[in-house]
Amino acid sequence: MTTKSLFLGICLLGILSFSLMYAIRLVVAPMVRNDEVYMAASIDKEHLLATATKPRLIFVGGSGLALGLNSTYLESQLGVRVINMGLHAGLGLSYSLNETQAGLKRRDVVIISTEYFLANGNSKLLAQLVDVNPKAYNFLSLSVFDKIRLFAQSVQRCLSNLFYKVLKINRFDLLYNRGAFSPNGDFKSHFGKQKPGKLSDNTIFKDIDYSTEIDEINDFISVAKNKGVSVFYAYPSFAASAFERNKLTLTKLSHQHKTSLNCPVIGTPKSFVLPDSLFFDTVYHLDSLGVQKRTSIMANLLMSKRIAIHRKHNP
Amino acid sequence: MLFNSLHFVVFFVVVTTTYYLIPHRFRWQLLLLGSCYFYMAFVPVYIFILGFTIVIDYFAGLYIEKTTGRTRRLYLIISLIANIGVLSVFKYYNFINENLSLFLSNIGLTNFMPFLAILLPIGLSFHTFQAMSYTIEIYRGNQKAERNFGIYALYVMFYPQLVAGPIERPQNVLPQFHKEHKFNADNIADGLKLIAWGMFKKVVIADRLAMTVNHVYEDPTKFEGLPLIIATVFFAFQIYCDFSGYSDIALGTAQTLGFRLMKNFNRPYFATSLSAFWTRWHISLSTWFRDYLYIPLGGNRVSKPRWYFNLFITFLISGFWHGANWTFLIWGGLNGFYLIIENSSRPLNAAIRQFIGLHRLPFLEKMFGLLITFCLTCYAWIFFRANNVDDAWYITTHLFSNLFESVHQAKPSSLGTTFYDWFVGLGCLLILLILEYIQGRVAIRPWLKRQSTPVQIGLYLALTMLILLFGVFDVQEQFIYFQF
Repeated sequence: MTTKSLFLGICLLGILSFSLMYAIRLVVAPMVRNDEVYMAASIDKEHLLATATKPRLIFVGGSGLALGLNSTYLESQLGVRVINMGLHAGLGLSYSLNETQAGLKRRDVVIISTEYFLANGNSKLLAQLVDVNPKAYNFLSLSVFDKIRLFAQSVQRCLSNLFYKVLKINRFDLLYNRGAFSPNGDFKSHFGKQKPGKLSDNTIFKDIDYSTEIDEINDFISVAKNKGVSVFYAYPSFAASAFERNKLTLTKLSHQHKTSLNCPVIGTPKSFVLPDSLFFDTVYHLDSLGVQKRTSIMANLLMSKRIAIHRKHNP
Repeated sequence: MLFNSLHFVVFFVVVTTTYYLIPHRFRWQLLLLGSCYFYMAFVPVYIFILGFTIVIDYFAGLYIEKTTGRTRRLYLIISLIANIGVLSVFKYYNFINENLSLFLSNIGLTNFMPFLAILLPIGLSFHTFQAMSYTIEIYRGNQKAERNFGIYALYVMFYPQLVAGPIERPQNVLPQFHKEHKFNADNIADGLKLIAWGMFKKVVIADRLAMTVNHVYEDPTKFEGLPLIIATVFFAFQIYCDFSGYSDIALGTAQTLGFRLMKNFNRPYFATSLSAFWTRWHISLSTWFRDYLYIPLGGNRVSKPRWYFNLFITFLISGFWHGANWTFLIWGGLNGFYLIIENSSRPLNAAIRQFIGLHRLPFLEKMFGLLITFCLTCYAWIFFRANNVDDAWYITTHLFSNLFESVHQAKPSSLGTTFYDWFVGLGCLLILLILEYIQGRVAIRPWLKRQSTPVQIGLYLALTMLILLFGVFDVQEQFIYFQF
């Protein structure tokens, strides 16, 4: 084999592989797309953010917010329009912040309430997201390697969906789907449903330096302030057993928030710690009673600090 | 920097391209620099530990060669103590300390030795063993001491085999660092093909099977019967594809640079006896223990009880080499015990086969041997994979509990994965086993080379597409043997 034929062989292999993958994605993706999956709720949330009338209170976070807030109750207490942008922590901090940033309007109030130590997005979940919501690609902060990984994941997703379609296996999730969200963006379909036995995501956090992510949040705060938007940070709802296991680490994190975040912090991690019995399936997802309790705590904290209060004038 | 990462792809392309562009006299320096960078991508500061053992062994090698008698032996002992000492501190100290505390507390005493919060340097077990084989071979007169410090350092640190072997012998590798490797397109093509094959085994098969294995072994008490059997059998193939996949990538990477490393696996699950299994599994480690422990203890040229003791102790220590946990000791001891039983029951075995007429049906006899070997190996793998002795005990005592009732739990969604993952993982595993079966009869690589170019491109395109379309890239599963 000559050097030239080796080089040509590698190039040919590369071109053919990429072309085949691109062709699969182009042809198969529209055939197997399901617009009712959970991630498709991002389309509705972005629409809500673009069209909701002022004054607005916007919550940014993951599924802990989606399954953690009663926006209707908050609206009645505060007199403002509440938008719950919470979707999935696995989409990463960058996506959550960028998505909201794109829809901010003057005099909005934003409360960032992400899961603990939220960092980079999971490429499998991001592939699910961009499959149903191509516009969401603009909100991702991806390196070249991440883009390659995301492309490969999208193609793989097409094939797995095709597999189930050919075998006529319905994988529609009866619980976590697009239709489970309220007009405000709250997730409600789990209310009254039987809980799985154990709470998942109950890990022990590693004591890491969260500076990079805090810088990312500060960048968001800076852009938001330029747009005339007020930003606050609040801690996520968290199961008591998980909090006990991670008390020291979370205390350190909260100290880092206090000293490094360029926005006021509402409450402490303990403010939103609730008994395990009020959680649904993970240490972040609340059941109906838990949602009410957490929302009351949030409302009281916001009212005590006079955040996002708008009294309607009675005629 | 994992082999199955884009970071490594870039590193590999840069190092290999530069290697062939620079004159031969600078190449070992490039490889050494690249190897340092590769090692420091894990935990940078641990390069000093590697450096420490390299310096000790380099000078020990020179002095062993120069001296005679007791002094010569003393330098060998210094080298062995330095290597085993580093291994003991970083790998075994906390384990020994914990057990000592337990023992002392049971007899009403306190252990004052501190617990060390240290990470195991990556590849420690591998490069210390490779370094020890160097000084031992010099001592035995089979190898001349390397004069060039940089080339000796490269022998220990050569990046394709630095973190998980194969554990090379100086006679094989050191001369290759001095030899000029001219650019050879065939060599590079063969190396790339081997890398692709290794990647296929790792990211398509091993990482997919790992989903079920990790889910079950994380908390085995949630399962009994069939799920435990499935997870254990999956692990047998996961560890094979993971480790042999890594070895293929290591050998392929070295081959692209013109180096030939030793083969580490030879279709082990086609072995029809446990003795044969250990000549096919992790060959570089098995032969290391054979040459530097088993044979010096007397091997099988001693009385039967002593021979069995030699077998047992060699496997026990081999188990302990894998990790500081009672489960690894039990795994090693169990394999030693298997071999003792196999050797001692040979005449009885032969008599039984003769009696039932199995010797007249060679295919059936082979299949029987293969199945027994596989089942016994799987059983031992339980101890290798379980997080602790309690888990291992639970699994072994519940493998066949409520077998019929456990069928409903033996579905992908209950075992942490999906039907699609099982379909792909098991489908590709079947392809692998078929090809390995064929490999036992026909040399596949030479046959492939005789095919026309379009056929070859088609086949390698298919392999590449299998990796890209079915490889698990969302969760970066570390190679299992990196933890040793």
